[in-house]
Amino acid sequence: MKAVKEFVVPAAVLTAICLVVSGALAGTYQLTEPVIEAAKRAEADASRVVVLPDGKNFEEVSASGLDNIVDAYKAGNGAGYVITGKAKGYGGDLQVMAGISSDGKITGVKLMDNNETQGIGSKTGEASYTDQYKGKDSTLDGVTTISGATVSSKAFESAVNTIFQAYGSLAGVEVAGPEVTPPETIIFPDVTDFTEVALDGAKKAIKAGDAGYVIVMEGQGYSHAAGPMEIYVGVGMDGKIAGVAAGANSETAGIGSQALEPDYLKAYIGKTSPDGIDNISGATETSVGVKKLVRAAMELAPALIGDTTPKVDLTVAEDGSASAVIGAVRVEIDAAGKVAGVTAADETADLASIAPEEVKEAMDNALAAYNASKGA
Amino acid sequence: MNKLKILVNGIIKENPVLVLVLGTCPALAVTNSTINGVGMGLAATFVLICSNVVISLLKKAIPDKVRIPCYIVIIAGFVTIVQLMLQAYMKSLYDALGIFLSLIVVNCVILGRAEMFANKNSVFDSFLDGVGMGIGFTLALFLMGALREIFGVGTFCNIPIPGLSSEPIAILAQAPGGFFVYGFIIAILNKVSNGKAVKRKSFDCESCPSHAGCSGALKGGCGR
Repeated sequence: MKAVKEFVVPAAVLTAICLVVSGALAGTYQLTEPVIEAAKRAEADASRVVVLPDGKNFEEVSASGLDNIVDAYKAGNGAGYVITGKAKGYGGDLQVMAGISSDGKITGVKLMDNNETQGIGSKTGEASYTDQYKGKDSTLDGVTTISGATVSSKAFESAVNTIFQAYGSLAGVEVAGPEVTPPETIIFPDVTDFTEVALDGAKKAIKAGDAGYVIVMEGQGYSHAAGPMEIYVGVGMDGKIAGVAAGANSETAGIGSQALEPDYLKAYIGKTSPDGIDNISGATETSVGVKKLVRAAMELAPALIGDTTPKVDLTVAEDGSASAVIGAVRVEIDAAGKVAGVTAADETADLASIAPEEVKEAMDNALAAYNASKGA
Repeated sequence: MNKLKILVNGIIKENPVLVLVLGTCPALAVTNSTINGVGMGLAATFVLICSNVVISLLKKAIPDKVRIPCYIVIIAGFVTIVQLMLQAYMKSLYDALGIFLSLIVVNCVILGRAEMFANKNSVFDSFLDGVGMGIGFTLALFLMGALREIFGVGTFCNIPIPGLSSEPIAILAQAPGGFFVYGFIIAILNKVSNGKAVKRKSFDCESCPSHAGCSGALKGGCGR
């Protein structure tokens, strides 16, 4: 009996107390659990309500397979989506959270994690910048860039764009991208009737009315870029480059992308080959990639516009000197292969009336034809 | 014992924090603002009253051998209930009290009153003792919280005080400030009571909580 009093009773009492307390706790838990859950949910929702004020009961939706999307939430009451996307800013990835209502309009945007420069790029987080997105649809028409914080602003805009694309695939709606001028229109701004034509070796070829052709080439730019880049090469009917423009590409924003800017590409206009065009320092791989694609396009060009090499009427005398007529220019070449004189082909015309470039080109072509005839 | 005396006892004469120097851990840690101090005091009071009553009810049933585990289980039960309730209905206080909420379980005031009072007295007396001690604990925490918030942050219950909010003594709201304020309050209390408050608590070997089981006590005192 002593053993029972000493060991069994204390153990039994302690066990009983534990059981009763556990029961009481289970009861309290049952009572408070829904309230606690609701409070937690409301707390998580609070951050999302900032960009989607009408949203309630947000549920996370899978954003896997969507590029540059951090997470995505759908409002349980059908108000829309809250999606966080990212883009490369000035100081690394920049995250933007945007609320998109069910009618495809932005209800609010907020700059999230970022390493933008304090006081410069960080201005993209200020209401004076973010408020302009409110009410915009996927075209982001009229969104302005902060002067002095271009890279950050562009990254912000691109993140919002990415978010819209994600919204499109999540909500299953067609989302129009921002208004982009197609590359062929950049090259031939005055042409409206573009028709696709077949061209072996090119990704695509477009006939630009009577002005010329656009040859689309695809190849590698920066060796670590996510994908190849597309280059649109416009060739005029005279066989010269009418313009070069970039198509789809994954070149690094702010670095490789400099070699795809119109400011750089305009250097190609009027040339027949990429020779003599400078690379952009720091964007060498992209610059070289552009050159290669332009060269390849120019090799394909004759198939579309025909051989534009000027017709050279070459007469070689027995002593080795020669006379060549190219268009309106007559070029005399001596036996040593040097230009001995240039006159107008039409003896009554004045050489001064012919454009100097045309004269120079005629001399080059005459020499090329002369050398070719000697080699043959 | 006079019922009123039991109630008032805990508030001044045997104030758990300022005279018995029990429960100092939460008293120092969460009193960086008035609301936190009062919230902590009320949460501990609730647990103190409930555990005092239940332990007093069960004082015959609980065998002496397992009384401490039994007290702990009962106290822990009430603490968890308070925790769940606060989390559900007073989220901001729950976040502010943090870990110290669950540490009420090992608050010396509660275990001390269970051991010193509730297991020897009637249910009603224990209830009154819980109320009195709870009020005393809450008042002490309120006093510390208010002083630290007024001078350390320059606000009272989050309302800015003109003149103080611009240049607060920021250290008072930090951990060292807790010790400063605590020391000042005890010193003033002793000065006002002419040292009576300190005499109440004797520091000899007999009154040590570990007296019964201490090997030093058999030899006549600690360290001998």
